[in-house]
Amino acid sequence: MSVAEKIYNILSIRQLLYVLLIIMVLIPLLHPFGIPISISSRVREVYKYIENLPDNPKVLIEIYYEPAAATELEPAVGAILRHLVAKNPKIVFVSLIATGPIMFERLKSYVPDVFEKLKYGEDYVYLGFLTGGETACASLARGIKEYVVRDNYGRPTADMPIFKYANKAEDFDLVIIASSGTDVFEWYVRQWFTPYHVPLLFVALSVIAPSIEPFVAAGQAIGMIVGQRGAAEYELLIGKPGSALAAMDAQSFAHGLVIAFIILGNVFYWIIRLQRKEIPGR
Amino acid sequence: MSVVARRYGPQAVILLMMLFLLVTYFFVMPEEVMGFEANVIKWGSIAAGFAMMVGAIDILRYHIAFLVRRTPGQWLYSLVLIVALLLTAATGTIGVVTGVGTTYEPFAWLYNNIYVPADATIYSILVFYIASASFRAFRVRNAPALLLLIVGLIVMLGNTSLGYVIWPGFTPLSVWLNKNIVAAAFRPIIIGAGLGIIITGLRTILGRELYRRE
Amino acid sequence: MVLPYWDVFGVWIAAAITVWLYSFAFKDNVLYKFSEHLFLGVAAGYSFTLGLDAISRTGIAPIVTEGELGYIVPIIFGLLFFGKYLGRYAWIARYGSMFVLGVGLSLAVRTAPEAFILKQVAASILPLYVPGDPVMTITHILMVLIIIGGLLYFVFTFVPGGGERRPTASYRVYEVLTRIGIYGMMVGFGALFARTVMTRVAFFIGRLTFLMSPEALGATIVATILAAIAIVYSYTQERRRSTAGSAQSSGAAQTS
Repeated sequence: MSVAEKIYNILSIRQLLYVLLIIMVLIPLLHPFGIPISISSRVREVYKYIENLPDNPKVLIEIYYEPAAATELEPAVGAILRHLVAKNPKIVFVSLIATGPIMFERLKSYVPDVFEKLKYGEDYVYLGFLTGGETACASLARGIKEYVVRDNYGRPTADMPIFKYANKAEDFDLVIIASSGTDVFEWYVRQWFTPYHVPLLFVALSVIAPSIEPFVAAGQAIGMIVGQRGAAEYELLIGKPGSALAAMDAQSFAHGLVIAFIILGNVFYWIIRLQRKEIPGR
Repeated sequence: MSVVARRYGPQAVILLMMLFLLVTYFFVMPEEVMGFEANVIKWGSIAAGFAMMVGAIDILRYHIAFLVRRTPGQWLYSLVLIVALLLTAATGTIGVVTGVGTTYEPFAWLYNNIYVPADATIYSILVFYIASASFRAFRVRNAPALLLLIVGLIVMLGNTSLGYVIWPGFTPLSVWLNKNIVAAAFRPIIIGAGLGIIITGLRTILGRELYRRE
Repeated sequence: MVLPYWDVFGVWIAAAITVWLYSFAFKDNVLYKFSEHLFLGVAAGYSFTLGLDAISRTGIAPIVTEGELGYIVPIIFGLLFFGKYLGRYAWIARYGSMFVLGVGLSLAVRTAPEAFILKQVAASILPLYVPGDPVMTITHILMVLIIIGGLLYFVFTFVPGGGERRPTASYRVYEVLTRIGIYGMMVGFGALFARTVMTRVAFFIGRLTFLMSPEALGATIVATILAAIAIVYSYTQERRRSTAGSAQSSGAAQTS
């Protein structure tokens, strides 16, 4: 067995790779390095769009993610809310996924400064989880208070002042969709943008961003904030650093490790192959 | 009669729904008809809620079978599952019936301390497999794989501050790639999906999609 | 930070479940299976409750508070779903599912042509020469070629010309375009891979941050020790089973 094969066999131990990953993520979390990041044109465009919204904008925010995705999406939604709140918005929160109510309560404790400035029923409301997926999305566009008779907390929506300004799709200036799945973006494109031309803003998990790029490129969404990196950039832009920015060092170290694994794995593969040895199976 | 009820009846329901909702979208209709259309859409969403309850009951039945049969190596775990399910459903139902909904404290305790950490952990466990696959499985053996690797490296470096330190151009290059080339690459999939949706709809209307055999 | 009793217990359970679920990456073990089944039970109960809650707020509340009797229709269709448990009459459930499917599918079908086809095709019609901007010129040319190549590769199933054995000019063009499409898709998948790494690392950072927090650190350490014991136990059980198995098979070989 050549030296290359021996090293390859040692590095191929799965548990060793896992421990290396844990160490590389832990180090920057325990001792932040503050490596700088740049702000991309994509995030600047979204920032500019929200900055140029009229005063008292009517916004629908779709909370469509699970607890796992909160690390990527919560900072982005929190940063956007902090930016929006200066314009005295009317915000209708809704969830077409069952984990939405949990995530909304977490969002409230993530950005308590935002919700302290808003009055429930007048400035914001949370409709809770609605079943039916695209069907619920279409029903919301026709008239929210006619469809959702009671909000997430059991309060009647009929007399809530917010619905005087923001009830049907045509009333809204922007729909922000924070999602860990591709389907909800398609529902809003089909049921809100296509018939009513309501502007959509996508806040997406990094992994699903490539599949929804065509919608953004075709102008069916005004822009996209992608993953933890997009959230970190938005936090920088509004001048309020949060958990996304704090995680960038750990992201860098982990990515560096994965890149090193890919390069090393291929280097050893080709060395061993050129030495005309079989790759040991694991 | 039984074939009519078992097969043609459900097909008639779906055909009626589809024809009604397609006609009201593509043709101008009186206000009363459009009002009824809005109600039909709401009804579809409400009825879908029952499917979630059926899913939970199916899981319960499946694991009750293990418990009853005392399947070795499984029945104790099924007992844990059944107790957890019944406790969560019971506290949740109390919350719904008393009007506080999902904010009922015992229910909230269960989902905040069991569901949330477990859900987050199960999704994140894949990071270990990505790390080990990066070393053990990602092999560049031909030109398309090399292109995949190069683009992957550019986007990974563009995503992180590490890339900015090495070369600030990684971020704008990554944005250019994503906004243009990746969008173009996934566009045929979106167009194909659109064609698939239309074809599925037509096949359903024509009765070719469901119940070929009884 | 001082937490009330139940909250402390909750944090310990959360940390323990997190560590025990992660232990699966090292070895399947008793504590992982316990955590997995506990999670599934709570998830199923949660799903049941949320379904009931949504039906109550959007379906039952209009009947009770506003007297809108039309909402009885979806309640009936929804109740038909439970027909699947009626044995001989399980076909009743089809009415409920066909109603829901009919509404959902038609909503998708009626807007898909514009949203998924017309808008996407319109966005693909790009100027192949942008005066004074060579980058955008090359970008547009690449995009158009990749879109056409990708469509040819996936959507069209006929192969023009004589095929591989007797390639004609049109087949050569088809081959070049599909190859461009494939390379374009490789770019897409490369970006997808890179994005996947970011997402999973982000999820992992979230969990580690929780486990390292002051409230959860003690529980993390205890749970890790218990997980290590469970993993060692799992390995010893496996070794015992394989030793017993090889002893049995060598005994069987001797007697034969």
